[in-house]
Amino acid sequence: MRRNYIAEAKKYKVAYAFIAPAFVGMLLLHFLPLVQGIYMSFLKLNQFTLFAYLGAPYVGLRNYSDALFNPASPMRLGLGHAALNTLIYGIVVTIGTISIGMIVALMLNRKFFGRALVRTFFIFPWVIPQFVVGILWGFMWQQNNGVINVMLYDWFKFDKIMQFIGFHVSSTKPFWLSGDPRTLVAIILPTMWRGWPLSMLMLLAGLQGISQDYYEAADIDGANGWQKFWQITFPLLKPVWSILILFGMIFNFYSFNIVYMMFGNGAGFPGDWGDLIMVNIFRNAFLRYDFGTGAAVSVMLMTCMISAVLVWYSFYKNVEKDRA
Amino acid sequence: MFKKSLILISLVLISSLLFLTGCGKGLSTGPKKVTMWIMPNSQEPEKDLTAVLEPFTKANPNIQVEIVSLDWGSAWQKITAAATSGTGPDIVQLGSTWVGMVSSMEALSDLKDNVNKVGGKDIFVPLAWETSGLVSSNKVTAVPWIVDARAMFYRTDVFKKLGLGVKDLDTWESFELALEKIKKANLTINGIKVDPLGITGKNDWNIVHNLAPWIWSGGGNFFTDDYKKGNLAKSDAAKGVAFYIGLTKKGYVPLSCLEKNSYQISSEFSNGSYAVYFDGPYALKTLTTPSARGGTADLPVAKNFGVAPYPQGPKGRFTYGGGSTLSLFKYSQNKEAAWKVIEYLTTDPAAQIAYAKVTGFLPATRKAFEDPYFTSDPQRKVFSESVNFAKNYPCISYWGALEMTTLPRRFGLMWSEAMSNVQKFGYKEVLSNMETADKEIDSVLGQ
Amino acid sequence: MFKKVPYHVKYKIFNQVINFVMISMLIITLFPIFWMIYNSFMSNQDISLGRIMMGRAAHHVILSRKLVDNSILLGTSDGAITFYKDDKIIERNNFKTFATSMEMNNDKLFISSGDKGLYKYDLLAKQAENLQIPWQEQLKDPLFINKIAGTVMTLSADGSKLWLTIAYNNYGTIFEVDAKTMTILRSFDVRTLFASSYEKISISALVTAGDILYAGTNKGLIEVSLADGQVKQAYGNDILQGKDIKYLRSINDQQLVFCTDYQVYLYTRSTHETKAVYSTHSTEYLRVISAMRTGQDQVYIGTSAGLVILDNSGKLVKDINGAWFKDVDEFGHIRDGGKLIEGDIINIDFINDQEVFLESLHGRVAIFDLKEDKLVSTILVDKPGYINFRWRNYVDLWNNIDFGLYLRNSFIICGLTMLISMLLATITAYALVRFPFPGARTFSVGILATQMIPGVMFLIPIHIMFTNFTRYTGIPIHGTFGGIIFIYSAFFLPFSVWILRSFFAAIPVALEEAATIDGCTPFQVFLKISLPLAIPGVIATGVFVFIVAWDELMFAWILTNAKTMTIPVGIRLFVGNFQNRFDLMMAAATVATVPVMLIFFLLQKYIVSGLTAGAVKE
Repeated sequence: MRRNYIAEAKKYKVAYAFIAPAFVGMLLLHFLPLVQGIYMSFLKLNQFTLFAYLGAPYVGLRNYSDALFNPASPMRLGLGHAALNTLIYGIVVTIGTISIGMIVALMLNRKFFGRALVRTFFIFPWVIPQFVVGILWGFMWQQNNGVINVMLYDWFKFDKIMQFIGFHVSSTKPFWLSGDPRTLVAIILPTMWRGWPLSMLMLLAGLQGISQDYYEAADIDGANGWQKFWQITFPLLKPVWSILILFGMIFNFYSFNIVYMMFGNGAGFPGDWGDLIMVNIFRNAFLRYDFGTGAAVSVMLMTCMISAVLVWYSFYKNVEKDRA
Repeated sequence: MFKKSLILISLVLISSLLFLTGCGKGLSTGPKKVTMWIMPNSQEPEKDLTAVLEPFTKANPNIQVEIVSLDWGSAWQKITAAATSGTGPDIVQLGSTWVGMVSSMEALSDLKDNVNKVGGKDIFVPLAWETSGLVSSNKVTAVPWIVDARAMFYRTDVFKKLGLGVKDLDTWESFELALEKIKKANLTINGIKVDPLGITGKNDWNIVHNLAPWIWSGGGNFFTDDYKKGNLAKSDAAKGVAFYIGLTKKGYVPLSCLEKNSYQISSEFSNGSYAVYFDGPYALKTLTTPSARGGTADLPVAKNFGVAPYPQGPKGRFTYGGGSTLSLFKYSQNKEAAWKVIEYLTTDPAAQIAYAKVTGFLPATRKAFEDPYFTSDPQRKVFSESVNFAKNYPCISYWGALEMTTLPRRFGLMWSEAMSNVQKFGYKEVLSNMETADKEIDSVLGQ
Repeated sequence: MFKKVPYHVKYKIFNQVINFVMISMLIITLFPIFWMIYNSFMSNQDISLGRIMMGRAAHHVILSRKLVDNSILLGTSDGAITFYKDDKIIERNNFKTFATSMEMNNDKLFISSGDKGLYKYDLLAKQAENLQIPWQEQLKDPLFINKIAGTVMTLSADGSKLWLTIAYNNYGTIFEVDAKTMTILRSFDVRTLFASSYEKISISALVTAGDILYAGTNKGLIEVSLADGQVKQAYGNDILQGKDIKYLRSINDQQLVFCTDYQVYLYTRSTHETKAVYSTHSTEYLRVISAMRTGQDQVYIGTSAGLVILDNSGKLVKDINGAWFKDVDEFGHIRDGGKLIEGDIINIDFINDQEVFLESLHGRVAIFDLKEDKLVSTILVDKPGYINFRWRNYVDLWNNIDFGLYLRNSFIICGLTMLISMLLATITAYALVRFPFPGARTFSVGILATQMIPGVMFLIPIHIMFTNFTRYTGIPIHGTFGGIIFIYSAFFLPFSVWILRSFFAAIPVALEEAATIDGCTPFQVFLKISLPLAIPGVIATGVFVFIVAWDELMFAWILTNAKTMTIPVGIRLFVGNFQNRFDLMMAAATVATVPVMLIFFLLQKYIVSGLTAGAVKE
């Protein structure tokens, strides 16, 4: 058997040559740091021992148990909230971007004048760097002078309209970034705003790849638009949106820049409802110098992510099988 | 064959990139080069410090000082990186509240003997000397350089109109009465509504510094005397904090302030939005520097302002006093030359005064304070005198962690709570926050 | 009823509704971008006061004259000159200048500005002549206009020459201009006196007396001999206590008067003596000197609360207070029915022995009778200044931080990262798709797995690995382009491979097999057959990598230094240091966005076809 491998390897030497640089790069900058990072999570690595780095005292699983079970550990402060926020944030943003992307893609998948231009304009938010998105929306969410509150309360009299409909809404402009549940909205919306154009773009291409024959057949069967969407379009786009879900999971659960820049440009604590897990880890590791526990939480986070992706893959495998 | 050539190509590509960009520096054999990391203390940090160093570099032609200006945001990470990896500058400027943490990393040289040779602790003002090394260590890892003390800025035109004076800012009670008067007057000057007071809430680096004076003058304290436990709740820090937040509750502070940062409040004061606000001596410099040199002295407010010390609380008058120190890294190759630079900047009165003038900070040596620049100007005098009752945080290894994560988080949450319903936020709520803060301080201290 | 509507009509209505929804969404989507760009052209004060509309240039009156035909000329700081007769505008001319100052001699009006140089306006011929002044030549700082606080100008007694400079940080060059021919004759540099000073000089006033030009600065009084151009310190700033000289005038041949914010000094030329003569700083409250003019052997001082007149020995003659100016807003529109209030006097011009113009902010002028001590009448320029579309924010941005450098760095780093990772990703993806070699599957899984490592975990290990690498090999990585490009390339490689795989998978194997049969080596097959077919995908992925790299902050933060800093780091630093400058923040955000937007716009054809094709044809 072993010889066989070698023979095969020889046969594919070109292939190995092709992947070699990528392999080396991944080994050096992904695998090695990862191993060190995992090892760090077993060390008491803090300001006193940072100089020794990997020579820091070995504490076994203490960092993990601290982060999970020890209520007195400073790492625990706000960790639960950050995790919960990240979960809500990740799910809402992922589903939101895909839904809005789908809606706009459907709208764009018609023939009308200026279609290419409209499509281009729709994609613009995606090109804006995330740190700019953070600064910009932080600027727009301001309580008194922020344009969102100015529009809602000064121009469109949002409070009066709501009162008219029958809901009681305070007529003072709300704080968006004060750390209450509204803050979660204030970080979700910008992320979605930046994220959905990519979904739209990919879904649009998917839509264009669907043969018209399906719809014609459905028309003959007397299906309405709604039925056509759920029976034809949605299933046929499965490869696209399942990939988008994967992207969404990875990008959104690890989201950092937008939130980091939005709150006092990195100066302030975002508040219970504005904190995300990556920001939390960053703060604990780099401002409080608790690298060990920080690494432990990162490892746990990564484990969660890998299991989520595994679940995703078992689902995606069927998609591939269906197509084959 | 292709394998080899491909690997070669990629290797050559990568390594040539590394060489292309990396070989610019080269080794200098001439004068000794001392690298120094500083913060943006003035408008043109590098140029200004070079100018202040000029007499020194002329007297010591064999020492060449290379100055790199970091910023407060990135400095924290860059200094850690330098401390852990042993590559970086010879001299570094440390904020006084960082000294404890960086000292505990064992990366800074003990300068005790050197400092003793030039006069020891007596030449520095006590406030500055407090943060020269870890409290328990008996080492001098940071030499005081510049000092910062906070005071109150007020609009004389508003005060004149309402018949108020500096005396009305003397105690908590009279301060509150003065604010009440300003609030009632509901002034609009030059088309801009003047609110009584501008303070910041949660989105601010200064969140701890802003609360500290109120905590102290209400009798509160961050730690027990042995620095082992948090002591906020027991020492009744809540009294001062509740008073401070109460100013918002009573409507002296526009709510929108609470999400702003110090920079914004400061520029809004000079635009005319507030009658009173708190800031450091550098704000005085900005307000008295004409716009030709980057200040705001041409604005109407800058012509009508006065400076007063923090109001006196039930347990005395306190203000936050910080500043910056200079430290020498252990791994430095040019310790002697570097010490000479530190010595010149921290102990030479002329250099101390010169740098204070450029930056707007206060000097750290007693002698420099005697200069008429600090004693004759009535406004600057307030700052110079504030140094006497200014207080800094204890120089303990965990203070950095507390100041940068734990306390801002706790106080930030407290502000969030206050922002969402300020009318219901009183002493009881503050106290419960202080109790939680104590627990969190304990958890950091007891790691 | 609705059911009876024919299908195609329903369809049309439906389509229109969809169009409406789409356009609303488009507006909502683009609004934040518009808002960013719009605010980058606003003044910071307007933004922080919560104003939505763009601000206007200030139109403070800085010069008033009564002309022979009894009309009144008012010059304002926005560079406009307005002629009034019987309270009506009969003529108006707007030069739209910035940092304006004006002087007049007979029928020639001189307007100096920070941005447009010097104008000479001939009142008879109604013609303007322009002379560009090379302010920036002395500074080696080509983009400095924004910081100019004002221009300072003085005319010689006969009006044949004028001297001008700018109030600017550490600027000491004074230009001498021939007023007739409008040419620069020579220039003097007063900075030479303070070569080694750590404090910076700025000139705020000029005046000539005899053949000496005096300059009032923050370093005291400086004299320039017009005969030989020598610069001397006439009077230091010891007793000025570090305060700036704000105004400087000559009373007569022998005496000059100058003042700081509160204090007036007399200077005798022959004896070089200076004495403090009057202070507006009374015990009661502060009054700041905001204007000073001499005439009839007297000194007229305008303050924030009235007029003070001193005689030529500095003795107080008169101190008049009163409400002389209409209450107006910053546009010069009347507020509160125009009731009279106190106002800052920012300039004083004489009409005759008895009457003066007292000029104030926002277009207000009072004609005042000095003998009777009473207000004669008021004039108001109710034309607000030009809309202040502040291109200057970008100039300021460029001035405050080395944005050009960051842009260049970002382009180098992101560009090379894109090239390298594309080169490697193409071959890797190709190999993975085309060759079922042992380990191919593991490798693919590995590629996906790399995306699941949180970035925070890398930071410290990579930092320490690099430091050690540098320590042992001497090759620097921190702060070099090589280091950051290496990291980025390796980082974005797996993702690129992941996307590119599908492009190669979409290329029919048959094509390659045919080529192989024709005798092509595998490498040739890749180069000549597969790669050209995959080019749209490669470009799309490349742009994707570029955009992501352009956005990267965490690693660039630690691994770059002042010379290799990228745009995100630069902006982060900038934002940290200028947290109150929303205008500049938005300008910075715009500058950081525009390059990627442009690239996207140019290459969008490929991106749209490429990126999507890859996702779909998995």
